[in-house]
Order: sequence, then C-alpha cells, then structure tokens
Amino acid sequence: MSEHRGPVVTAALGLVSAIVGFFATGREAPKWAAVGLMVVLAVALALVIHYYIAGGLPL
Amino acid sequence: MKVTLAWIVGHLSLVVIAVLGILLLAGGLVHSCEKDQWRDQYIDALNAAARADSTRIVYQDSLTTIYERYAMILTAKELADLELEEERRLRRKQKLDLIALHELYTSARGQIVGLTEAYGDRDTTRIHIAGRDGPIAMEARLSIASPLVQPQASVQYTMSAVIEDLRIRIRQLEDPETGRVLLQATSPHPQVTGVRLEGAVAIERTRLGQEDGPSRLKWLLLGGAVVEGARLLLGR
Repeated sequence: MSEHRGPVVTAALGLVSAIVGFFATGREAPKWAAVGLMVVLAVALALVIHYYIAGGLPL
Repeated sequence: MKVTLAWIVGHLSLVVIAVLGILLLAGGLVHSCEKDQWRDQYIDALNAAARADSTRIVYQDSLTTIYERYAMILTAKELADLELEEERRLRRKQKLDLIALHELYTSARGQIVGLTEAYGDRDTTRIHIAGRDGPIAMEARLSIASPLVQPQASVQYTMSAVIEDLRIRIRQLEDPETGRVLLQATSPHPQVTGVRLEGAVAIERTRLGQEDGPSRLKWLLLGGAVVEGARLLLGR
C-alpha cells in the first residue's frame, strides 16, 4: 500500500474535491454535479470493495 | 512493475476519481459564484424599481434577449434562499408559467418583425411592435404586478385589431350599446399552467373579418408576456 501512496492520496483528494464541489453548488444542485458525484462515489466504492475482497488495491 | 489489466483498471479508477473530483470542485465554485451574481443583479433591479416612479425600457434587438433575461431573472429569484415550502412550490409553478409564455412567444415570433419599444408607468404600458404588415401600437392596462407576486396573471388590452388565428381560444362578445365587438382570448394551456393571459380586444364591427394582418391578438398576448417580463425586471 505504501508504495502506491501517491496515486491513492491524489484520488482521495479528488474524492474530497468532488464532495466539496457538489455541496458548493447549493441546495438545488444541478444535474451534472449529481451525476459527477455519483460516478466518483461508484468508482471509489468499487475500489474499496476490491480492497477488502482481494486484500489490496488493483495496482 | 508489471502492467496487467488489473493494474490499468486500478490506475484508471484513481485517475477518474482525481480528475472528476477536481472538475466538480471547479464547476461547483463557478456555479456558486454565478448564482450570487444573478441574485445581486435581481436585488439591484428591485432597488432600482423602488426608486423609480416610471421607467422607460427600450428593446433594441430581438425578443429573444428579453425572454432570456426574463428567464434568468426567474432563475435568480428561484435561487434566492427562501425557506418556506409554499414559496418553493409557487416557484415551481412559475417555471411552468414561463414555459407557457415561451410557447406563446415561439408561436407568435414568425409574425413579428421586431419589437421597437415599450414604456409606461405603474398603470399603463405602451408597446410598439413592428409587425409584418406595418407598425402596431398598443396600450395595455395591467391588472397584475408580476407573475412572481400573483399566481394568476390577467392582462386587459384595448386596441383595434382583427383576429384570425385560432390557436388561442377566442370568445366573441358584442356590446349592443356601443356596437363594438369584444374578443376575448386566453393563452394555450391555462389549465396546465394556471396562466391566464387574457387579451380583450375591442374592435369596430366594420373591421371584423378584414385581412388586417394575422395573429394580432397573439401579438397582444405576446406583448403581455413582454410587459410581464419588463415588470419583472423592474420588480413590480
């Protein structure tokens, strides 16, 4: 895990940015923000599931 | 480092998260700034309207410009931070009203060469339209403040005109005392939108049936939409 710290940290920052960006659009968020956040969360969830099933990230 | 399919998929996933995240952050911040900008402009328009007793508005280009401003002001208004659910519900309905006005505008657009100017005071608005068959001047007495304030918009007009377009529902009445014919028209989908753009056009009986230019009542109703837009811009 430690050898892949760079890309993992970058992706984690991307995840945080996505969440912050989504909520920055306001209470009635536009559709593109919702779709973008869904995509990011789905990919992140897939990686987390892979991590726990396979014992590591596919890197 | 062995490049396998899993390696590629894994790295692609991280790249997608990172890139999309940055884009979302940038887009969200820009969206937030635009929203504040429109809200400021709307508040400025309200303040300006409060200071002015009468206002002159000149439309130089096409009606599209006016309509777009109208739409954007509505959006800005919608974006205002209002907590009451009743007001939010009203705004959703006003979106539908706007669609009806847009339909009206779209269907009448082919008949209009250009809208030259509209001006007036609190009670009366005069609109000059350059029609295909010559200029049309109309004077509208409005019984509404704005569709934002009042759910049902009722507009009454007095003008000489000949009606031949039937897309708008038209009712014909005759005043036996004056011998004048009163034509009442309503916009296409009042039952759906709640909009009642009513034009009452009093015309001389002798002119009824003359080919005096098509769809003039539509122009009137369109003028009503424009007037509403103007009043909305003025915050009245």
